[in-house]
Amino acid sequence: MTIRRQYQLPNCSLILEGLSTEATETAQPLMTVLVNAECHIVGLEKPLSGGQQFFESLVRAVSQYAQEVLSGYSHSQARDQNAPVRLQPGEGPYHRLLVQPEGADANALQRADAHHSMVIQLSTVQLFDLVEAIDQFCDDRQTLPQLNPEIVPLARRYTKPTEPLAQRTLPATLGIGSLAVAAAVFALLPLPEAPRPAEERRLDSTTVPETEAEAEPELEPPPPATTAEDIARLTEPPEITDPTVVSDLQAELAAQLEAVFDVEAEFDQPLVYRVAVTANGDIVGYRYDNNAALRHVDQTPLPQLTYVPLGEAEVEPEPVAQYRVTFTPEGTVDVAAWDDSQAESAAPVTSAAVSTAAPTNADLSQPIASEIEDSGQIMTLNEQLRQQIVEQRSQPLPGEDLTYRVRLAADGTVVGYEPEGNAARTAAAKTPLPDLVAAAPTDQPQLDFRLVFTERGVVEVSPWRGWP
Amino acid sequence: MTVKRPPDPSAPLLLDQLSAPKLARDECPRRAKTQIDLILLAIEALDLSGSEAMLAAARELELQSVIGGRVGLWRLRGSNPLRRFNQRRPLSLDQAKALVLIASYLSRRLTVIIRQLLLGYQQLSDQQLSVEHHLRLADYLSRFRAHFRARMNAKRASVMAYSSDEKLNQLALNLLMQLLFCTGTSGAQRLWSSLFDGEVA
Repeated sequence: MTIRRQYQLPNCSLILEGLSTEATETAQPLMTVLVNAECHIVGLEKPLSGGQQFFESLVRAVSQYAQEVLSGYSHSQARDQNAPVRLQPGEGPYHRLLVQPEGADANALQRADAHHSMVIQLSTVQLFDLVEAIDQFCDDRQTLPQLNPEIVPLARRYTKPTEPLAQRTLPATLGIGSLAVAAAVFALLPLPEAPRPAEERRLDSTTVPETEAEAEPELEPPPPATTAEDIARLTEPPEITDPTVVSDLQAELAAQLEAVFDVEAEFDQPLVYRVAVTANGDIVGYRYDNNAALRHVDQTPLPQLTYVPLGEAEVEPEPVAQYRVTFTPEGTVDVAAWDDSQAESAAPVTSAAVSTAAPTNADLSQPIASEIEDSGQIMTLNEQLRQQIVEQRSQPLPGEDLTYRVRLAADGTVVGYEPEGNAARTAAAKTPLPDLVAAAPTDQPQLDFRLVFTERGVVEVSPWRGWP
Repeated sequence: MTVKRPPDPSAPLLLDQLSAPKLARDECPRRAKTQIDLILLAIEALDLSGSEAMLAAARELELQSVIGGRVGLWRLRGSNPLRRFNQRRPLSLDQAKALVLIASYLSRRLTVIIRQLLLGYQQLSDQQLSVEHHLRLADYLSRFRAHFRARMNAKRASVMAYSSDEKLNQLALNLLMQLLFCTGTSGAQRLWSSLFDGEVA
């Protein structure tokens, strides 16, 4: 006796005809053998039909594709490329159902795929009705119970990147290559002369005790004992490589640090740390990358934020992402992805930054050897500086008053300048001052002037200590 | 025999219809947490009283022991890492299962409107018209955009990816399509299993 089962949905109906091998006759006999399957899709003249193979393939393809729609992960690597029924994303809101007629052998199909297979465009709602018809069939235990595709998640191995190996290794090859070239170039350069300690002490700010300043060059190599395992955590665990996760964590880390970083903290050099963060955003370790970072670590939020595991024995290495975190004296926090090649260059970069700032700051912290005292000359210099600034300045500066202390030599040369306050410091590059600075012997008479760019764009100059 | 203690509170039986994936850790991966919350957000954009409906659904499905009350639901949804008030807490598999069951339960009630909107969108895109030509669709999209912008942390890189209206509309339409698939006979199973694509060994 032929058994007929029908699953009817608005856009799609599935009609199965089959036989029962069970001996007993019941009102709802169990269908165990499929003879013919028909799939009517609204808008399609002829129904899709086929035997067991066609139907099995249809069930599997539809079930897999439904999961693809839900998760966004392509299941194409997990499915059989030669299956008679396949589903692919189509254009816009459509999906493509590819059906190969029964009877044609697989080889012939591969050769002339496009000619043989039938392509049907399905809208999302049509596709869903097809999925639902199949789901209702799977739910029906009285019809072909052996055919029940499991709904399982896609294994990780199928979501690996599909780029060829050569393309994936290209960045690494380039990196190693450029490192080799850089190493060859640096090998040719002469060794730099170490600066004399006495000079260093003079440049250093007065807050550092003398003994510490002398010990400074040796500070970097041995970090405190507690950081030993931090470093191990920085080097041993696997890296997080997913770029979206890495950038997410980066933004999260920056927000976290900015929220708690005390702007009033006192240090005069940028503090650079290498920070390891796990996938759930916990800071698991950090390491000092310059001397200032080691000295002022207590003023950063890092020690409080670092996640300390309770039982050392149970710690399992989690994948981490590494970042380069810079706390600047202006109170900002800078987070960038850690790049191993920066490790070597880090120290020179920060010291270079300090040395460019030095001529403006360090010179002015020295008292003037002999001050200019002639009031007539002071007036001339005052006017000369004002003229110089007004002529050089192309457009008025916006915002608040910016005040600078400017030191002039007797002939009117700008020997150095020092910004007053943060706003002035950041805007210094926009003023003509950096271009005007010129070297002059310090034993010649000099004098400090107050230079103010007012909010309304007026330049005001007066002697720093007032008119004599 | 007299019973001296009440029976141990065990997880509701309904949760057993979703099978536990073979994960390395016993908590939801990041993508699953995000996806569940976004699906619920889309339901809220479709149904003005969506958040009340979620609590009612938890009661009807007897999932209150897993979800807790209003605050409990808010905290579970706050496990979405994109949220402005991200709870930074793990979402257990049972909690995720309960949310998935609620989402599928509510989407089934909204079947008619979901189908209408998707048909409408298809017709608009056939005629190359903008979504503003379909009143209810435009309504859904604008509500979704408002919900998304109000609740997600705009400083996060993955939220910044949805800075424009077009990208948010595309996300909302994708979620609408996913909601349609949740309405089916095995909608909850399909949604549940899709959450762990690429996460199982």
